[in-house]
Amino acid sequence: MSVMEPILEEHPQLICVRDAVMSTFAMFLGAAPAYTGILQADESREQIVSILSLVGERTWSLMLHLPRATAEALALKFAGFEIPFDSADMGDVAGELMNVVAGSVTAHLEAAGIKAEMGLPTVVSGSDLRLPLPEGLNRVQMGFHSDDGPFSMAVTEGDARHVARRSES
Amino acid sequence: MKKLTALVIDDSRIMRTMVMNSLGKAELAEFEFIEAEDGLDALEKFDPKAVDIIFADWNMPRMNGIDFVRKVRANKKNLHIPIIMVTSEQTVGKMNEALGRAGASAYICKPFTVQDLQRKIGKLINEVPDRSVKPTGFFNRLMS
Repeated sequence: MSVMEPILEEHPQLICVRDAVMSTFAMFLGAAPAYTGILQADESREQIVSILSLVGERTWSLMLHLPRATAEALALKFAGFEIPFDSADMGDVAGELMNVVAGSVTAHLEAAGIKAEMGLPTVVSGSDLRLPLPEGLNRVQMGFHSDDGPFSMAVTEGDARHVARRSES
Repeated sequence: MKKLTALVIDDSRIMRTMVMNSLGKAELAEFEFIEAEDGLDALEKFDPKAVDIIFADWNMPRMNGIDFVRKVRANKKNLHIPIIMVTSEQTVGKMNEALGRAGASAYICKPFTVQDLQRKIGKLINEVPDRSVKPTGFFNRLMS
């Protein structure tokens, strides 16, 4: 797996994603999370990952990584009531968060003159998750920190939904 | 308060719950809810004589919300029923598609607040006849 150079200014779609994440989470949390920079993939923690593909001039995927504690705190704010991490409802919340972020991403892209259509989210959760990506696939994982804990958003060239299907099998 | 029956369509159970809770908090009407998981499920549950207003997500499996809106609006007898898109799709193109060609009555982007609901659908709800008011007059009773 190769990693794109972490120069967001050279990749307008990455800036769109970063800004969409910050504005969307600001609406849920009341304050925008801090962008902490490009991360090396950390898939060892117990977490829930929501994956959604954008299809348009380019096909690429967004992967929202929520560690357990962050997911539980976000779910409480999103839904207004506590949701157990190991429940179908938590998958629902992760998928909806991804949907809303992706909706904002497509709006940011539209404003930048880039057309993209959203797919449906796929959610996978567990500890020590390994999300195998095809050789040579470009991937950038952007880190964020909110009052409810850290989380990250990965941007991957190509359709990564099969990653979740492979992980579930 | 006016009594209405709302069809709430979303593949996410949490989102359906949030829509229903928010409508309760908005105090625009007293709602009874029918829930559907996607457009096809909604078409099966949709009875124009029983449903006063519809809240539909866009992106859903099997049949999406915009196709559901087109199917409902294809029957001229359903033109009076307000359909509100409640969706994460935020592009101008999608809004125009829903409100223009498909025939949705209002468009609400997720995430939304109770105030958003009050602002965007208050007028629509005022125009929906109250289900708790019995029709009067011979022709109205005949039509009901």
